[in-house]
Amino acid sequence: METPRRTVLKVLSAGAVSSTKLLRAAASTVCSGTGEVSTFENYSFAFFTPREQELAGRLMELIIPADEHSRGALAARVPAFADRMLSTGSERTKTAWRAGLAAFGDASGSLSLEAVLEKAAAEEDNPKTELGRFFVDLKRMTVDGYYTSEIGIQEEMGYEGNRHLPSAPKCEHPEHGAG
Amino acid sequence: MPTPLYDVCVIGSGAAGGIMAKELCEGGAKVALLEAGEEVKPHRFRSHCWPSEMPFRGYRNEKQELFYPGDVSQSIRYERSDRVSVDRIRVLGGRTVHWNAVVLRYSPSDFREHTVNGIDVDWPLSYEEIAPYYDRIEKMIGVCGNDDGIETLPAGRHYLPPLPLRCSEQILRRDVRGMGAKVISVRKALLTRDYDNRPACHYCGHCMDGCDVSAICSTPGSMLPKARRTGNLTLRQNALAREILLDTAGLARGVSIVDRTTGKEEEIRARLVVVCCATIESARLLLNSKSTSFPDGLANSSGAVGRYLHGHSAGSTFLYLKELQGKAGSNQDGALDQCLIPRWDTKSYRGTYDFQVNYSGYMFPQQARLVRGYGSAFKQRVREMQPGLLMLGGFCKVTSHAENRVTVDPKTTDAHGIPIPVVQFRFHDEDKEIYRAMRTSALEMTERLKGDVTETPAAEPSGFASHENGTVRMGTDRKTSVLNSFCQSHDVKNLFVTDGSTFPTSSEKNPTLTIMALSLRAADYIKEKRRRREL
Repeated sequence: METPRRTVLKVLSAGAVSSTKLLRAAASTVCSGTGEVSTFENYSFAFFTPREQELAGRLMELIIPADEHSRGALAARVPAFADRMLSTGSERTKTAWRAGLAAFGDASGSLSLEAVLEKAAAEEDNPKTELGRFFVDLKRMTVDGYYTSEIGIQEEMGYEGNRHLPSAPKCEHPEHGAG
Repeated sequence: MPTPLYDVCVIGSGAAGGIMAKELCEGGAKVALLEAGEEVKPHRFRSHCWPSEMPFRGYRNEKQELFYPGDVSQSIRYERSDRVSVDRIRVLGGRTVHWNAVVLRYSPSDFREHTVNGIDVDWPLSYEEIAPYYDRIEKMIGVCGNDDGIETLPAGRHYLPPLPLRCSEQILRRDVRGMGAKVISVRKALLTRDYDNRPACHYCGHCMDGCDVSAICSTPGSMLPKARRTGNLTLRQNALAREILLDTAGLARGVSIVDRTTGKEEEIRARLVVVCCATIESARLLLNSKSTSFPDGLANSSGAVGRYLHGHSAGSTFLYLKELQGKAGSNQDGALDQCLIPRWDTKSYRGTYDFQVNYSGYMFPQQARLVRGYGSAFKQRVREMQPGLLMLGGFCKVTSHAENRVTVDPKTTDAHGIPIPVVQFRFHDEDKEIYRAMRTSALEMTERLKGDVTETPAAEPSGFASHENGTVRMGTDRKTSVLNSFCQSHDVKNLFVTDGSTFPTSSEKNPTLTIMALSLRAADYIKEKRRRREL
């Protein structure tokens, strides 16, 4: 059956005239084999306990906070992203996360969470403690979740791709050698 | 009802099989085209999907998972191997629905490595013999680019307008000139204007995830519509070839298949069989096709089937040009691989490498995984760096050796009871020398290009960047090769193999254009032999 391809083709050819509109997958495109998406509206947490969820959220927001430029990890629902990755991940990873969050929880009994995070992050290049090792995993998950969210892609990074362009992007700066 | 007898059975619908099926159908042959995977229709491609439209934000290979169904990715074993991996895509169109479409001609010396450099072997055909087929293929598939007048990268006459350079690429061109390296617009099977009833590219930057408008050449978008128009094509999807069957005269009589969806076994009968399953699967199929005449695998009197496996080694460089950091955002995705640094050192085989530039998309800021710290300062640093990103992909020649090979393990089978392939591969000294020369050049470029470098090629090579070749090689000596220069089996005259497995040696260039040209040449040969009733 050729029809769907041709339909898509017509839609996109028409788009060529209207310059740089954002590309959305064609109406009939199935981006998800299961129907699940990862906007995480009304998401039910499957891995984190409520206490872990709250702690993970606080830590993630410290790593990528809301600031004057853009919203942060909580608004981007990074804890929910992490929960899905972990709940469908390996037992080894699950164990490491439970232990890591517990270590942060314990350490923040005597210090503020901000101070514990600062201490853990100081080991980033060469982690030696459980806190230091977990910080690396925690930050990686936060980065992976944040920069794949709409907030991370559009609001924070101002990404201008995945658009329908009438011509290939081109440098027009003589100082770069274009001419 | 007796099963039909086809003139030709083509196994595999990738770059080689697509060309072969189209050409033979247009030549009047009744063709059965077998594909172990199934069609992913363009409206199901996930190229334009945003991460949040998928369950795992695009991780876990979500964008391309439809191209690798079932157990295909697991039913393989690597033994006594250096760090290599092979691609066994299983979808209608094969890797033509999952490629950046870089199409580069081999140069005259690439066919004469032994004569010119004293390594490898010479091909049984010359550049002059294949050049007319390069011409025809480039015209057929639509290639953008230029004739840049570069000795190592011969050109034709049928190019569509070239892709322009983006800012990072202009700076690259400006700053590496002193090394002798030349930055050119890539040659890519991508339409920069409407061509052959296909629309021009819309520059979304997702070539590798499937092009929904067929602005990139693919078998389903470019070859099958033409084959179907002849009324001569029968396409069988989910048809996994188990073995090629022989008649009492020792000729191929057809192919035994298993339907992946029903598990039903069937024989597809044909007067002639063309194997186009790609380097690993073509060798696997021949090795699994054992008979009293060929106890070590079909067409394997030489013992060369499965041997001489090779492919590119590759190494990446990521840097963030200071000149562009902190600038206003711009759309850098474009067509991907928009420019190329062709091989420039021709003094010895050590110079057999090139660089493909900006070969991946910009949606995810890779530096976010590397910038140290956290908080607003971290966010700001990631943001500032992004406009400066420049990617250099070094692709290196790897030499061809008999002990690097694919075998099959009869004791370990896939989900359909077919023995799995086993890969054994070690890099040789020459391969390491070439790779190290590429690495040295990459490091020199990073010195010249003032920027923050986050990745340089590893100290030792790895492969194959989806460009594996060899295993069913052509040659003039039937004792050391499987095929003649027309991709015809020395042993079984109605058996052909026309994919990358046929390459006796490889250069630094992507193999697909040469695969297509060889397949077209073999198709012409088959048509002529059929006309004369010699096949």
